[in-house]
Amino acid sequence: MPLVYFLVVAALIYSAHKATRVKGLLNAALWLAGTSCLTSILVYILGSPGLAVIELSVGAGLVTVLFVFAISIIGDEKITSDVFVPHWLAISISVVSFGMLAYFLIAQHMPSAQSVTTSPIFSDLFWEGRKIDIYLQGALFISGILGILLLIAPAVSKRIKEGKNK
Amino acid sequence: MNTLVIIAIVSLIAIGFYCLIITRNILKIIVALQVLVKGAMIAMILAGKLTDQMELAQSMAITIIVADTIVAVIGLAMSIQLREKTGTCDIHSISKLKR
Repeated sequence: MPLVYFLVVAALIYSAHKATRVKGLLNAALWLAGTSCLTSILVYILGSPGLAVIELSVGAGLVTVLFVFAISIIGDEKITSDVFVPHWLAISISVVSFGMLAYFLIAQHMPSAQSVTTSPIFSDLFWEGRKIDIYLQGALFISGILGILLLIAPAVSKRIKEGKNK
Repeated sequence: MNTLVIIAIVSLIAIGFYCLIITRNILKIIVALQVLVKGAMIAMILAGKLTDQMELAQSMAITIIVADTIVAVIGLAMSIQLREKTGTCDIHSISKLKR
């Protein structure tokens, strides 16, 4: 089991690194989909198969399709102008801050699993205990869909008109 | 094994944070945000496992996934508008959208 953990974690870190550093947006989207797949495997191993399925379908499926759709509309572009923060400073900030975080997390004693006798069932907690949250999430999803339709509609109609003129 | 998962969490958050600092392409920024949020989600699951509150952690993680997807969708739509209006995906030109 530790070997499986090690392999999944190593592949996850490599995939995330490639998603952020690879040239080409389509390649980045595909590496991101791989990161989502490996995240769902890790979540499954950690003992939450329902969440792994949701992460796989939403993270690796829906978001990747949306990325490819957006890239097909706007195309791939390389921005070569200078960045605001130099690379060495960004690397230093990331390594120092998150290295310290990792050190303190690993060095501290991890809390052991407690035995709770009356653990609620996930469906009860999700649909009854967090009812207002679920309604808000539904409203958020619908507003997101309406928002993307309003934002994309002019660009898509322009493309259709250009296609008809050709 | 928990140490390995913590290494994964910290690495994902660090990679996403680093990319968020140095990149200027709005689509790459969305990719960095996605990577960062995956680290946060795994952290939530690990915390739920360690405190034996897996159900609560799962429901919170689902909220994270929903919010992350909405952010990605809105960001992608904004990137399309940015490209149409300014001809570039540079995040510094996003202020031109209000004109």
